[in-house]
Formats: sequence, structure tokens, C-alpha cells
Amino acid sequence: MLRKLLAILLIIALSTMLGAAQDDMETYVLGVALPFTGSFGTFGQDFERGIDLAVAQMNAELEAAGSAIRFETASADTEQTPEGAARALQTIVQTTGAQVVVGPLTTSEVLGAKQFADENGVVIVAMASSGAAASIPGDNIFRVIYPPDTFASKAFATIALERGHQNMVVLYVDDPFGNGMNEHFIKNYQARGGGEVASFGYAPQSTELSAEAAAVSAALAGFGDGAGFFCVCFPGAAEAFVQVAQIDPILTSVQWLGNEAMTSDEMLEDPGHAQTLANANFVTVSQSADSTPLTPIFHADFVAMFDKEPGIFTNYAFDAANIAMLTMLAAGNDGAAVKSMLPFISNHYIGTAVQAFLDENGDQAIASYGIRQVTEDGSGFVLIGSYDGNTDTITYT
Amino acid sequence: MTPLLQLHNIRKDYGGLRAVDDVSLAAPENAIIGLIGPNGSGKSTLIDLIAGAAEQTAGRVIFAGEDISDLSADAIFKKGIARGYQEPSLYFKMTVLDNVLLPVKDQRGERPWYAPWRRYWAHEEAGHAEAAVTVLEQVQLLQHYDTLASDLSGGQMKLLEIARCLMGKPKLLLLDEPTAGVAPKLAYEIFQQIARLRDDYGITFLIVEHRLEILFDFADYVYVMHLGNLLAEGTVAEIANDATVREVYFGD
Amino acid sequence: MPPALLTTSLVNTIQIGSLYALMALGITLTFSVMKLPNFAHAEYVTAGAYAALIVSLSGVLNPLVIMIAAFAVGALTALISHLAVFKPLEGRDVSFYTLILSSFAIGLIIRYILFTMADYFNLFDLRIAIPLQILFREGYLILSNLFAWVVPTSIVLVIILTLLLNRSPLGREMRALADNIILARVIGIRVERVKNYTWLLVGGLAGVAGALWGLQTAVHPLMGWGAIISVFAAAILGGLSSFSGTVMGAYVVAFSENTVMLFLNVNYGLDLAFKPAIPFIIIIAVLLLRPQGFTNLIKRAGDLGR
Repeated sequence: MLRKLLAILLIIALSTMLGAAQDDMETYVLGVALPFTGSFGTFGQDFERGIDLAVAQMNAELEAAGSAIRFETASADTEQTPEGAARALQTIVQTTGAQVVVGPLTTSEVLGAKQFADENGVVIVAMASSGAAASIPGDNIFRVIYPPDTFASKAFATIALERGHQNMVVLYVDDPFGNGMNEHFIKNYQARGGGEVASFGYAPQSTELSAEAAAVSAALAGFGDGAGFFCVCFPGAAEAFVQVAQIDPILTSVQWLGNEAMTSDEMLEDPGHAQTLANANFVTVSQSADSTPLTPIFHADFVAMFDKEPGIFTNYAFDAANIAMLTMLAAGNDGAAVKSMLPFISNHYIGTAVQAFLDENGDQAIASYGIRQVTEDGSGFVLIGSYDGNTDTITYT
Repeated sequence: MTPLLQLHNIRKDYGGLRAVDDVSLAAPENAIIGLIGPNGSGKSTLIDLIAGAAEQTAGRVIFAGEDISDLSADAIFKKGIARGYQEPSLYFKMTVLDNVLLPVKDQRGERPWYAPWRRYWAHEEAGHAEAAVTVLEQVQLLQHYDTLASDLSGGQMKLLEIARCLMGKPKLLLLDEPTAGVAPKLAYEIFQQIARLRDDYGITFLIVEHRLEILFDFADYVYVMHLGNLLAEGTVAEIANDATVREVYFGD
Repeated sequence: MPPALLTTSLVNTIQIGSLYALMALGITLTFSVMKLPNFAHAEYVTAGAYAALIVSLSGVLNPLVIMIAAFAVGALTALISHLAVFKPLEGRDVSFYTLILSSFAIGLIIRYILFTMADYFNLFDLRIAIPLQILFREGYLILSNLFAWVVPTSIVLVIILTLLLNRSPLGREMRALADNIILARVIGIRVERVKNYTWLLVGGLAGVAGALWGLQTAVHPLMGWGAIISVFAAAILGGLSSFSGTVMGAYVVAFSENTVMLFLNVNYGLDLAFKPAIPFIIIIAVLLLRPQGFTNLIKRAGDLGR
């Protein structure tokens, strides 16, 4: 009994001493809510590295400048689900008192975390979510890098019509991102003179898509000549779909469009897949992340720190973390102040990807996209044009 | 000649209860030994102790000159002691032949890399089947070899159990009430088979039995237990006329 | 329903059903012999798929070599999970629920070992490098080389396993364990060894199923987990004890997920995103209406009984 008491007293004494030693330092906690497990687990892990790099660099600068402020991250797994994202946010906030959280990844996760963020005055800085469903004015969600899909859906609609598709078939992931893209695509396509659209949603957790491919094929056959296909899929499902679609006589005879996640050389690794996409004149629309002077520096720093190449969009996480930290330095470690000041800081930030400029929804307003097509031999994607979302014009190069 | 099985001062306590108290007995080769006594006198416990299904608190079990007191059930089985149960324990969803073939050890067909390819083990299996046929013949179940065990009569189930024990070529068979729940005529036949196995193959039987009228026709020697103690021993004639035995056992 | 859609969906039913059957038999076998509903089974599938992927990436494209590698890795994964976790737990005489939970746990461990490996070598959403070709085309009927691999391989393996179980000495012992494990010990069957062999077979089959499943979709650490509910539905339809029932169950689940799903989509506009709910509905329906599944519907050998 006495021993236990002594041990407890010792711990209390030690912790007060440690606390005293750090008293002159002020630590700002930067929350990180990302999917570390699930099919986007690798994205999450890579993004976290990008954020860690930003924090390490910021702390080094602060130290050199003699500042008393240091940043520290507290991360939690969103498990790639809305509920998981809400849990992750709650965990971070309740255990560390963080006022600002970078992440989550997808629109459904962002929406899952939204209620807790709004109610508790916590600011969410998302880096890659683009679903139109999260474009809400006045809330605590900022999506600082990637523009919402309301823009991209117009580009897809215009391209479909330019290609002469009188009807379209859409396969979309049945989550807020996919639903939003599908909805806005149909609206814009029909507003611009398009005909009927048949849409099929697949469950986000699906790993096997042969029934979906059969349904898409039958719908395309029903429309007859001139119909086009638009695939709104996450990477794993996209591969599984192409795998079964490549022997389908209808799907291999029409032209395909695809969302930005399909703009990946990994889609072309399998020769059969590459050939299928090449034959389909596969075209994607994705944000043109033009390189800024910071891009190569980020790349070199990342390789130096982690001894591996940064994954796709990892610099978006790096930029989001920087915007969040700069705002905290300017406004203090306070959610309401950060919320008020973030658009100003963000609009004056030039990152590694693209200039950020936020609209009234707290979303990226600079909507500049690249239009890419798979080469005839299926060896890669080439830029064939650009889409300016702010003027709604396509320019082919 | 030393007896096949010797128990030296076996004792078994369950908590405070002494189920078997200082029992010593000996079973010679090639004999049917009866083990009788009222319910709860410790007979079945004794069988469990010999077979290794339970561990004695004190005492030694010597089998064929070897101390097997501390061996596991599996090891004791390998030494040549097999046992049957009061309730027939068979694989009722399998055929009679399958039931008899199950205990055969070290077959090629037991290995997963051989099992799917019949030609690697068919020859060996045929040899085992031959042995099984012999054993089934011994207990006169051969004509039922393809019957499901669940379709046998109660007495046949008992015989099948004995046949399965015989596949291990045991020297000693422990049987716990082999005629329980069997019609009198069949019960008598079961004992006839047992006697034949003793005569033709030199197997020793230690049999717990309540049907004394049948047991006494076949047993070579009888032990009587009462409240965990050995009450009496002797030939059938001696036991049948023992006054103490008559008192505790027959109540007169 | 357009004839082209019907034909394609039926071909898919056969192809996917064969794969489900291969995976579900292992679940039935572990449940019968080991009394364990093993959720880590999904991970043996994934491990097999990754073995196949790595062999194919190393340049070996002989399907037989790929299958053997997948079998070996699946078998080893299963055996290790038994020896390291299930066997010690059984020795401690833990409850049924502890075993289920531990199967989830070991599944997670294997899955995240695979995740870490896939992350390190960047092996996500890749495909076993056997190109897909059309072998046969007549009207709406299109059969690929994948179909030609998957269906016969599955059927042959199912037949071999059934024969092994019903005819061989090993199968006899496995049936004995399934029926009464205490008696098996008493009559001198080497129970632990038979269990080890059963795990090897279960894992091996799951591994081969993984290799074939990796031809159907993309190889990912979650691929086995993605299929496990459908596979469990198939096994539950088989009453978790009947081989023939499990195979039937596999085709019923695949039929529901493909043909029935598309029929409902075309005629009643039911969203395709409903597909993952189908195995759950089947499981609930079976548990409510006919808990024994297809067992005893057709009385035959191969039932492991309970």
C-alpha cells in the first residue's frame, strides 16, 4: 500500500517537473484524420508523411527564429468511413484539445466529420475531397487545394457532347463523391443538350464488379450507337471493372470517360487493361497541378526524409498542413479565429501544387483542369487540353 | 509366470472422496477376469485408471512387466491395452468397416499429399481391409461390413466396439458392461465371442459386468469391489459361495 | 431482361460461384473438423493471391506453378495460424466466442502484414499477369481463358476434396474428428496431426482460390475480406457441414449477386449498390427459415454432420 502511494507520488512529482521544464514552450496540436486502414490506407499513410514533413520544417524554422511555438501532430484513423472519420475527429479533439484537423481524405469522410467539427468549433482542412455535397457556406470545413466536382462535371458533360455521345451510361461509386459527380454530370449534360443517362452505383466496398459490367454493357447496348460511358470509380474498383470489361463486346466498342482517380499509370500496368483503355479513347479530367517553384523542393525534401518517392497528391496534404499551421500562427490556437482567418491566409499561399483561392463555401475556387487521354499504344496518359472551370471553356492543345 | 496386468495398492481420491482405496489385483494372460460390485464401488474408475483416462493418487500399474502408471492414454493404447465403453461409442454415420479401419496407424493415405491419389495407398488400404475383415469375422459382423453403424442392433454395436479394439492387436481388453442394454440372448452371444477371442487369440479381458449369471458362465477369475475396496477375489465357484459377497451384493 | 445480359450474368454466376465454392469448402471443413467459424479464412485467400502475384511478377507465367505457389503459401498461413493461435487456445479450453474473436484477430494480423508488405513493395491493385483473352464466342455467349481456368480448376479441386474426404484414410479420420473428437482420441487417431493436415488443405484451397480470384479482380490486401461474407453465406447455405450443400450454396449466392441482382435492377430499378447486402439477406433468411441449410435436403455422403 505504502509502496503504491510512493509510486504515485513519484509519478506526480516527475510529471510536474517535466511540465515545468516545458513551461516556456507553447505547443499547438495539429490533428491528422486520415484513412490509415482500408483500401485508401496507403494514401493515408503517405499523406501523413507529407504532413510530418511540413510540421518538421515548420518547427525547424520556428526554432531558428527563436519562437516559443512548436507544432505537434495527433493522428487518428478514419477507417475510410463517415462514422470512422467522426470517431477519429472526436478522439483527436477530446484527447489533445486540437482546434484544427488536417484531413480527412474522401468526401464521405469529410461529411461524416462535419457535424462534430461544426458543433465543437473545430476547423477541418481537407486536401483532396472534391464531392459537391460538401460545398456548404459558413461551415467549419475548408477544402483548400482540390476544387469541387461541380466544375469537373461540366468538363465531362462538354467532352461527352463534343465526342457526339447522344446518350451516356455512368458507373459511379455509391458514396457522396460518386453520387455528387453523377448528379451534376447528368444535370450539366442534359442542360447542354445531352440525351438520356443511365446510371449505376456500385457499393464502395465492392471488389468484384462483373455484375456491374454486365449492367453497363446492357444499358449501352440499349442506347445503341453513339452512346458513351463515364466511369466514376476509385482505383481498386476501377481495375476490377476494367478486368471484366475487357472481354465485353459492347464496352470495348464505346468511348470512355473517367474521373481523376483513374488518371494513374497503375491503371495501365496490365497490358490488357492498357489496350482496353487505349481502344476506348479513355479520357480523364483532373486538376492541373502545375508545378510551382516549391514542387521540386518538396520532392527532394520528402525523399531525403523518408527515403521514398511521395505518392500522388501527397503534396496536397503537405500544402493543407502548411495552410493550417500558418493560420494558427497568425490567429492563435483557437478554432473560431482560425476559421475566420483561414481564407485570408490560404488566398495568400502559394504551395507545391496550385494557388489556393477559396470561394464562399470554403472550397478551392481556382478550377483549372488538365484533360488527359491514354496514348494509342496504352503506354501512358498525355495532356490533350485544359479546362478552365472559372470560364467554363475547354482548350485543346 | 508373471501376470499380464498387476495393480499395486491403487488409490484414487476425488477431492475428499476416496473412489478407489488400496486395490491390488492381477490378471494372468489368456483369461477372462470379472470385476463386479454394486454401483459406485469404483469399478469404472479402476478401468479409467488402467486405461490412462484418469490418474491414480497412489499406486502402480504394471503391464507385461512394465510400469505404465504415468503413461498417457495414447501411449497405453500403443502398449496393447484397448477399452470399450458402457454406452457404445462408435462413429454412427460411418460404415462398420470404416469404424474398424479408423484406429489403423501410419498409413500412407493419412498424409494429405498421398490422400487424393488412390494408387499410392490402395494397396496398403487393401491390407488393412483384410485385417479388418478378419477381425469382423472374429466377432461375426462381416456380413454387415457396409452397414452404417447406427443401423446395427445394440449387441452388434458392442461387438463392433470390440472389433475396433482388436484392430490394435491388444493383449488386454478392458470392457465396461459389454452387455448393458442388450437382450439376454445376444448378451450371451457377446460373451461367447469374448471367450472365443480368449481361446483363439490369447487375449485377456478385464470385464466390468452386472449380469452375473452370464459372467459367471465365462469368467476365469472374479474380483469383487465394494465402496472402493477389494472385498473378495476367487474363482466363480468361490465367489458365488462367499458369504461376505452374498451379503453386500445379493443382500442376503 | 435482355438476352445478352442474361447470358453474361449466367456465365458470371458459374465463374464466381466456382470461386466461392472453393473458398466456402474450406470454411465448412474448418467448422466441421475444428468447430471453428474461421474469419481468418479470407486472409488465406489474400495470401494465396499475393503469392500468385509475386510469382507472376517474377516472370513465371506457368499457371500450374502459380497455383502451386498459391497453394503452398495459403496452406502455410493456415497452418501457422493454427499452431500459433488456435491450438494453444483450444488447449486452454476457451469458449466458442473466444475462438471466433481470435479468428478475427489473426485475420487482422495477417491482413496488415500483407498491407505492410504491399505498401513497402507497392503491390496494390495489381493483377496476376496472365492476359485475358476470349476463347469462345457464339452469339451472346462469351467465354474467356479466365473462365476456362477458373471453372475446371475449381470443379476438379472440389471433386478431389470430396473424394479425399469420403474415400481416403485421411478423409475418414477427418470425418471422425468432425463427428466425435473425444472418441477419436480414445481410439488412437492422431488428432493433432489430422488437424494440421486439415489446416494445410483448407489453407491450400483458399490460396488457390485467391490466385484465381486475383485473375477475376485486382490483388489487394482487402480482396479476401471483400468476398468473405458471400463465402460465409455459401457455407451457411450448406449448413456448415455438407460439401454438396456448400457447393450448391456457392452457386446460389453467385446467382443472387449476378443474375437476380441484375434482374431486379432491370425490372424494378433496384440499385446495384445493393449487391453487398445480398449475402447478408441470404444468411439471415437461412438462419430464420432453415438453419440447417441444404443439409439433409439431399441425403448423401460428404455430409460432415454435427
